[in-house]
Amino acid sequence: MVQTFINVTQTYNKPETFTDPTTVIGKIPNQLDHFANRVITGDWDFPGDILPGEKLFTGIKFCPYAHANIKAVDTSVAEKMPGVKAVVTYMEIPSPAMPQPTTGTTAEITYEGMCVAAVAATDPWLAHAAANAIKVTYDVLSFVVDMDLAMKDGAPAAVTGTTPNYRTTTAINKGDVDTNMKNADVVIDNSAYSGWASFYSHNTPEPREATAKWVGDELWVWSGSQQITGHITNIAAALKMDESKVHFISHGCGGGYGDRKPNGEEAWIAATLAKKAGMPVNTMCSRHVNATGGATHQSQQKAAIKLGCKKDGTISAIDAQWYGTTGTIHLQLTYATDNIRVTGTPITTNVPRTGPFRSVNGMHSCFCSDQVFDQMAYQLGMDPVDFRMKIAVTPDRVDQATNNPLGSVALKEVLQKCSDTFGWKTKFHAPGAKTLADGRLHGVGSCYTVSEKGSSSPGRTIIVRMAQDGSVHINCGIGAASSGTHTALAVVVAEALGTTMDRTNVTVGETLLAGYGGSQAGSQGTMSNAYGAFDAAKQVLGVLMTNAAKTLKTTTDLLTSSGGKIFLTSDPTKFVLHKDAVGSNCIIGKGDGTVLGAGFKRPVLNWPVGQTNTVRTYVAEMVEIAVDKETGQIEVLSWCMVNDLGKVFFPKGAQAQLNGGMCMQYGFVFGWEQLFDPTTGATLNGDFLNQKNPTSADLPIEVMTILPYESNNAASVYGGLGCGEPPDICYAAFHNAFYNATGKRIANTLMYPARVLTALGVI
Amino acid sequence: MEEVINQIMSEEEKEVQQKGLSRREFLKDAGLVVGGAAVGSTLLASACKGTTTTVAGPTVTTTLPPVTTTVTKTVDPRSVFNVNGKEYKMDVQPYWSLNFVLREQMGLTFTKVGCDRGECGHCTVLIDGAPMYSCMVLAGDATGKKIETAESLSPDLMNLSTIAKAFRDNEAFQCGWCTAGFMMAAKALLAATPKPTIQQVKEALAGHLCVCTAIKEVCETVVKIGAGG
Repeated sequence: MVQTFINVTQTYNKPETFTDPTTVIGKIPNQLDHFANRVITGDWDFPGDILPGEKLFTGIKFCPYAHANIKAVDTSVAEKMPGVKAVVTYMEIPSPAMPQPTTGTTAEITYEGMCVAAVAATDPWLAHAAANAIKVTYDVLSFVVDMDLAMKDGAPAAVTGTTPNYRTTTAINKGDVDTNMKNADVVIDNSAYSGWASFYSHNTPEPREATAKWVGDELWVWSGSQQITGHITNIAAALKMDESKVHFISHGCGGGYGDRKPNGEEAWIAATLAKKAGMPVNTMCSRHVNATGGATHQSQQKAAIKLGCKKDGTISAIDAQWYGTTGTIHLQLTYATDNIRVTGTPITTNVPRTGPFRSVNGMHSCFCSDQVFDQMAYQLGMDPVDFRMKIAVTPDRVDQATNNPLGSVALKEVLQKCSDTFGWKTKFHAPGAKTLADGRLHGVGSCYTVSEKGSSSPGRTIIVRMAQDGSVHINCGIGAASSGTHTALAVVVAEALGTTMDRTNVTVGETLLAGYGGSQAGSQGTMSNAYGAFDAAKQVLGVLMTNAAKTLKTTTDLLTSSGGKIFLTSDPTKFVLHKDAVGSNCIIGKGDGTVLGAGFKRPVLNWPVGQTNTVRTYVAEMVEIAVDKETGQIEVLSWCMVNDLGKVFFPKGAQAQLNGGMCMQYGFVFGWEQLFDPTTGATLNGDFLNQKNPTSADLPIEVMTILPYESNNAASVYGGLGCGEPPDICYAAFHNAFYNATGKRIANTLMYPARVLTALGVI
Repeated sequence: MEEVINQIMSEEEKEVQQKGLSRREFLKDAGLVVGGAAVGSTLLASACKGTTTTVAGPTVTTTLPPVTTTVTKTVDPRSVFNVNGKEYKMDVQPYWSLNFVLREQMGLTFTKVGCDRGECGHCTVLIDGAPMYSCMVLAGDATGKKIETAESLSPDLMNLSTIAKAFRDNEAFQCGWCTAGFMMAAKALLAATPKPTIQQVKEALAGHLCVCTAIKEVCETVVKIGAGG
């Protein structure tokens, strides 16, 4: 078999001309979606599905304290218990997610749920029984799980020797904030207090899990991750192995929520136990461990914002400070002003910092700022949507934090489409001005914001291989959190090659086969890999075109590739099938080779080489609610969101992402809240009964209108911007609607009845 | 007995026990064969022998984990399960859940184990037509009953059930983790209520969590199936 490998020097800034209308992009039925077919037949393997009947199971001994030093670990009883095949302690598991040794056998626990030791046994019940028999002696230390307390003088150090628990830095300082603030007509200043507090939690149903197996000196790990190549790098370094002998497979990942990143302890525990037991081992974190240690489910942020505006609504200046256990706040990407100052104060507590999730920072940034701008509209006597339209950023502006162009900006467009669809102009009224016939208070609220995504990872590799029968295999070393990346790669390659979707196949989430994949977190999979897939496909197409031109006795510029064949543009009846153009000598019917193309990540089109190539997608949302002032219950009457996705590659998949993100908002506003015992720092509700996900019975799906907006600015390959992050950000629309209904503000994310009644002065 | 159950209980289960929801009480209430020394160390080895079983008719061969312990006595030999129309005959431990037996002994891994405590719905199977959380059903209690898992809905792409096909065509999933549970609950609902309203669907599927969340698509898909769409 002859393989032709082409390594084309990348010309990053060369503009591409994309086919429009497309033949594959935006036109794929689910029947041709590989991912969908695998999910629906149960062939999409999750880590625990591997090696049924052939593996041991893990019991984890976790620390019940938020902050402690491990003094001693006694595994002697556990080692003798029935079914036990191996016992390891944190000292044998070289994961950064494990307690970090300080001196001798002492190690510091910095949050509840850290793994101290683990057992592999023949079934999960025996493993848990043995784990419970492990005796651990602790020195329990002072802890802090509340960020306000963490910032006070004399607060306990969340990590021994690291005080204070925070540091303040200036992120942006542009223009003349002080002078322009002084000259503003209206100023809202909440900088005297903590302002809007964004506390969100989430509780992922799919557990963190790994299965590990050693074959000689090679390690195979199946686990959920959004950065599989990062996993093999970390594991190989810690175990002093060659990276080439660590194979990480992440097919079913579980949506990328929670802790699907390279530092999850489950893969390390499984690998260490499997080595010691000489058998494959599955490590599934229990529900409580999933909700506490390392799962990074809870995040806190507050902001103090001083906003000055002219009477016509023009922003004079923004002076913002944010404080939080995660975050940043990117007002400059949403609101147009030349005078802006932003300082940030990251805070460390004895709660794990939040990890992968939909728009982790975007939610905080939006919630902590949006109500200030909404309030400004009322104080200016303007309709909030008119005010938002006035202050929205435009594509000609730059990101004042980096001085890079904003590029893809469709903020005004999504706001207008949302307003028209929702019927804002007919529903809006003054605060407290409308009562429904049943006595409930009626309110409408709006919100808009941005989500940044793209790649900050340095390199990615996508390999496209056309076999001698004309079928195409795409291989990318990225995780496989859900259908988005998987299907997007197939769509892009099919479009670029001019083949059909049913002749493509995709492998993602396997380090054994793929090159470096970088991170998928932040919905950057499509943005960061699709260009590489496009380039690789174009390399393959170049070979096919050259061969076809010889056969058709013409030149490549007179040929078109579409539908799995290459034909004369002027006369489609004269063609060569792809399979016949593959062969090195292109003899019709006797193709005897394969063609490989390799593509790499490249910056967003027309961006300077070497720049971080983030792009922005904008979203607008409006909601209509009824507030029962006697019970505190809030009913959603109508709810609309419009999200710019650029070119939509796979409409049903994109719509599902939007719907899912919007449903998540409901959880943030009405459901999820991780509660801590103030006396121990331990999580009180590490389960689903007391920290419940929104269910079908809760979600107002009948009144949800969720629309994509397809901007056309070609910020990435075929103009796609990806999706997944923005649709859960705009929940401040609920709080703005509450103000419109009642004239009162709720400054916290959750709006459960007691908080509503408190805001109304009922209790 | 007391000591053994304490060993089997995790720390979090012990916490739950203090709140009145103990696994011990559950085991007792379920009438499980756990009397006297039966659950003691003597029973802990029956699944650890590497046994191979072949049965007639729709034939399934199962191999138990090839592991050994220091204990040798078999307590509950040759339980017979009817899963997706096939008969499985095997040894199971009295404390094993049906979910564990389906996944690890029969290799039917489409059924997931999410919370392992009856809260998320991902492990739902049908037992005599009723949707049940298989993590909360003792395997021994499922013998002699008709068990259906999600594998029965879509043995392969050429033989998709109406439900599986509709879930695929309407993108009623995202990561795919909760899909099997949702589909089985949908099957039970549609069997009892062939043309459900959206409200009936929302109520019937409320015991299933999905953080992605594909709940809107799932509910609308089930309504479509009922409507013949």
